[in-house]
Amino acid sequence: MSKGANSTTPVLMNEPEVLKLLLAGDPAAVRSLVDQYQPMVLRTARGFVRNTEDARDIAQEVFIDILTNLHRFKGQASLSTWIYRITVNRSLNYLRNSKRRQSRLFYSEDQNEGRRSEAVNISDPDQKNPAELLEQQERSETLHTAILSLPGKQQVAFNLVEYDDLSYKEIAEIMHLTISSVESLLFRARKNLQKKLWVCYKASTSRENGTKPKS
Amino acid sequence: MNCKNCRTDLVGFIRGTLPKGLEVQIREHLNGCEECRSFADYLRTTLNVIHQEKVIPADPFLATRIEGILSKSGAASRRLSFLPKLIPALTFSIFILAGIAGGIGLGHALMQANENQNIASQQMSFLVDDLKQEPIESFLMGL
Repeated sequence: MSKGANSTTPVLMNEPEVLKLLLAGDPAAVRSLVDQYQPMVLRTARGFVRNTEDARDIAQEVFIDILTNLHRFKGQASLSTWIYRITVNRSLNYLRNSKRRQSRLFYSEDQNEGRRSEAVNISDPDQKNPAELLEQQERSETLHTAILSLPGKQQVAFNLVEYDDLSYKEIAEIMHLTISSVESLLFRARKNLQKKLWVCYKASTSRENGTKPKS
Repeated sequence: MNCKNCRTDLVGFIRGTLPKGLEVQIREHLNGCEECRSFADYLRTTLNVIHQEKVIPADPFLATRIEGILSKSGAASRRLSFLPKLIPALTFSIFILAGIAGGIGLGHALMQANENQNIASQQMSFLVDDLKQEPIESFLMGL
């Protein structure tokens, strides 16, 4: 990365401080907000779109949304919960509006190449050989296809718990649900995911053994 | 526990979200079932992808880009900021002008109607006066 990456050391503030600065129109507040919440927004968005560049686009839209709609933030939930909600909605819209992203099962050769090269960039090249990277890429595609095929709410709950390590209570606040509903959603999400991955597992073992996959 | 029941809860088992009793049952089943153990390993490795993908390098220029976008949109909105103030004034002016034009038009129409009425009455009075000044009988007698 360039020098700029090292020169911008985030100064972390607590939520009320960030809010106070933002509402006062402090020019430094935007930078503080972005520095503080960018990793969170990127991680959440990545859980939905599975592509770093798409996640960065979403992050930009999310921060613009936050800054232009700050007057609508009533403080009933915490700032991070509000940001999570915006990120989830933006990510879902992004998926919905992009047919290219919706048809993930049918990658073109070019997209596959792009994704593979991205996987190589993201992964640690010192520790993995190309065969391992390819295997990780395949696993990643399998997992993402399985997660994307989950019903909407299950997908959101699963991503928030897996990618953001949020508690059931936090997820309930973000999704406007009760904690028991979140538990139920996650239980069903895990079950559905297991079913889909079982099919993939059987297909991969059959491929390795050279036999026809059984359901 | 059979294989089907074991597989159903394997994701929860891997993530450690199952009740203790069920977890023990699954662990015992996995110890004795090679296929389920192999699937559990496959699941564990696949789910671990999530942990690797969580780490995304932050974009150091995102804040600068956002500031730029916001200042651009701010400038654009400032350029057009007079419009909301102008709209009520324009609407009021249009109403006033329409009222004045309507009044003038109505006045003209009324004046026209009055004029027509005056001409008709003048013509009628002329005829009536003619009859009065020169009755038909005297006219005939004069012949």
